[in-house]
Amino acid sequence: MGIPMPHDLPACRPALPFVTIVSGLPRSGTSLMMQMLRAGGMSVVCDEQRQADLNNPQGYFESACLPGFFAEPVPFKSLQGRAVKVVFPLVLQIPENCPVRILFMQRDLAEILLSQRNMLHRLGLPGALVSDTQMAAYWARELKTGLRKLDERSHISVLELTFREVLNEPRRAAEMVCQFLTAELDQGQMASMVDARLYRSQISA
Amino acid sequence: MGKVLLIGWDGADWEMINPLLDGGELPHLSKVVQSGVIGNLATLSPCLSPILWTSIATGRTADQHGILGFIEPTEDGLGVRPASSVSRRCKALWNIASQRDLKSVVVGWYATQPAEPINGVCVSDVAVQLDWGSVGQRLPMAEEGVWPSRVSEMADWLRIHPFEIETSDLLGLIPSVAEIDLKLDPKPLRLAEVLARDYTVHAVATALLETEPWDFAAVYYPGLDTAGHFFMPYHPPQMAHIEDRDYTLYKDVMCGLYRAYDQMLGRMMEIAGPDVHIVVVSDHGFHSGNRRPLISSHGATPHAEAAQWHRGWGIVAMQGPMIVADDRVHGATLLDIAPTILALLGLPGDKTMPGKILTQAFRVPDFLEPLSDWESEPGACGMHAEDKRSDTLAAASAILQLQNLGYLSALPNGSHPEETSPALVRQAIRESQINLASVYVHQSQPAKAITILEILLAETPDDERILIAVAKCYHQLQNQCGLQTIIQHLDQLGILNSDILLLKAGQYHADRDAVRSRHYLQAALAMAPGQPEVPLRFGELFVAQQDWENAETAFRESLKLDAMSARCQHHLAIVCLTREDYPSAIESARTAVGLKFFFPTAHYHLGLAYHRIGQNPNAIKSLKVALKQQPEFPAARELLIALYQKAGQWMAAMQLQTPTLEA
Repeated sequence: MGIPMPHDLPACRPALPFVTIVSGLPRSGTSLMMQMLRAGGMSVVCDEQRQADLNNPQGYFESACLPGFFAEPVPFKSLQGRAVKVVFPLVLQIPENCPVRILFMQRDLAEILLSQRNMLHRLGLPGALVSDTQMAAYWARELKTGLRKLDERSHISVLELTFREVLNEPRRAAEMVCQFLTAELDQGQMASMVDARLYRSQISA
Repeated sequence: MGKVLLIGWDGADWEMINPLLDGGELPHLSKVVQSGVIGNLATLSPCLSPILWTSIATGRTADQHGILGFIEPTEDGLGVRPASSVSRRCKALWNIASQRDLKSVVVGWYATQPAEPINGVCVSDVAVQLDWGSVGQRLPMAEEGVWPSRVSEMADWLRIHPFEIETSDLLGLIPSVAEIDLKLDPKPLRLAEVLARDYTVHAVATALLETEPWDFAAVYYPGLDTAGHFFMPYHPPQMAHIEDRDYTLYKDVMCGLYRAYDQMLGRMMEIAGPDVHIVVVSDHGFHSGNRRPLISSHGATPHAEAAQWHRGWGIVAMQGPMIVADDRVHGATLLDIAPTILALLGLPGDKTMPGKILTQAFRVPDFLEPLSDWESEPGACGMHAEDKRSDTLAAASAILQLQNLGYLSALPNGSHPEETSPALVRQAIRESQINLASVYVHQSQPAKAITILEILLAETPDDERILIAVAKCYHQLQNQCGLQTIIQHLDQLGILNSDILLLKAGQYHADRDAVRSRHYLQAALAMAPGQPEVPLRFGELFVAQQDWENAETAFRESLKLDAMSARCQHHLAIVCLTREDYPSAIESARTAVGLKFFFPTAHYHLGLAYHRIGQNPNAIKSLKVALKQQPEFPAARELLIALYQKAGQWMAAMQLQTPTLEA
């Protein structure tokens, strides 16, 4: 199955010699980062199968054919220079021969779990059967282990960004992203995508 | 330091064993009884074997060790599996032994799959499980079921499959087995499965004990419990609902199985030799007499009813060089086995383990100073690597949640070998959480239980079992408003049973409405006449009314139904104290702490009763125990200070008055 082409913009010129992956737990700000990258001029991979809704008013920026990303042969050439969202823990499955730079979104786990719970409630679906405390402890451990594993892989570089900092200092976040990706993106446009009103499920710092 | 052979007989019960011992039918267990110590072993709640056997092996309760039921979800949320060693959060005896360079042999113990890389040999519970398969076809052993792998071939070769059990093997248990048409009555096939599993465990264990070096061995036989669920309904005396034919065919099974167990024990003792400490335990008892549950009015099968037959008292029998002879231990619980075995192995105990060393069993109670915590003791202990162990409930819940949210449609690890519907995975998580809540309730931590139960209730607001559990928590928390809401909900659902009637009685008791409380107690009595809880609650009602005579009558009535109720004995002690019948108070309070040693208020009342008859040295002993078990106990502290002062023990009194000076 090929990587979908509609809605993407031309790849950055010159093409970056790696794939940009936006990752993090669902509800950690991954869709926001994808939106920022697209606004900055990067080609993003998404198929818009899941449309924008109350849970994500600006859209999800996902690709349903991502399981193909993990298949052999890796469609590296079609992803090179572009951004694709791969949520955690799926991001741990990146094949060995694929140079990637990962923008890893971090967010307070209590906020993530609250956001997930609210989303489930809106969808009319049941919540988790274990407490948020237990889930948070589980995810904290998985994230720590997962990021360590990603760090150990020579073809992977990771930049961690916190959701709160992106919202509070979007310009600085855009600058850090561009430096990390060595990409000439429109930082002003990137920063303009941040809308603090979308920061729901906030828990006071 | 000594060697220890720990033998687990699931569901073994003194009520079955004693008549057989008296008849000379269990010669090897008789040797242990005569040359060692025996006692009752109080079980824990919930009474589920994987939980209990892990508590025996770790000395910790389920909220600490993490094994919460028979099955657990897999981490990827796609399947379920038997409770596994990767879910256990603390060290077992074989891990502690490994840490001090002692070798262990572990065979068939619950929740030991995959086998841990211990110093010694481990053959997991799943490795010794067998299926029928086809005649002549040997099904493969579970992967990762044996450590080290060099032992796999031998263990595999020793496995006995059910189809290898012949009719002649069953004759000692079912004398007329040849007359049974197995197509119409497959019960002998169930027995063949039981025997195959037990004989496999025995064959593997004896081979390893003979060929491998060991300091500690733990061998688990499940058959008495498994067979009990099938065949205890047919044990004498004949139950009203059992047909004559079935009774005649199967009445000898359980006694026959105990005799077979005794033979296996004899072989183990022969291999171990006289210098090894033998410890035989069971996780719970099994009703075998007049208190066997009757068939329900809904026509439940004898097998369905058998699952409710667990009795709260298992067995402990120990012998060996360090153990006194021909004596009893009192007040033992499952949690005391691990500390006691550590002492037998010459290893220090653990201050964080809630159980105690059964010091009464030792010739010379001279033990090492316990460690602060074995869990933080550094060094290789043979547990799985940290990245292999996981909180499977949280993992599966997290994955299910992400799937529900649409973020994970398929995991890239490929299909699960035993794909299970998400509903079944969710059910496995629910059961584990219900069991965890039950642990908290029985530890008198209703607030922790409520946190779990309310999450479950949000999903299934009409679940009777959870509603009753929540109601009991509210009752413990004295949350009358919450209790009222639940009871009203149960009424609306039309659910009524003795548990609910007792809750209603409790509610009116709290409102000091003795008439209504009594009404519901009477209704509970009519609905469940053999339930000891009802007269006990009557007794509590009479106590509240200061009607001591009727209270004593009610408590004694409850004890006729359940003589082993520490709580009821304690209530009786309090009534006797109030009536100034101090000798009776002492007798009841001593019985209470004998049944349940960790019982600070009972120790206090025993101390008070001793004091009232002038036996102050005994009073001091009891009050010290009460304070050790519950340091924040003002009444016990005050009385003990007064007694120290009276005895001229000024330093001791001063230390109690200023707790910061205590070591």
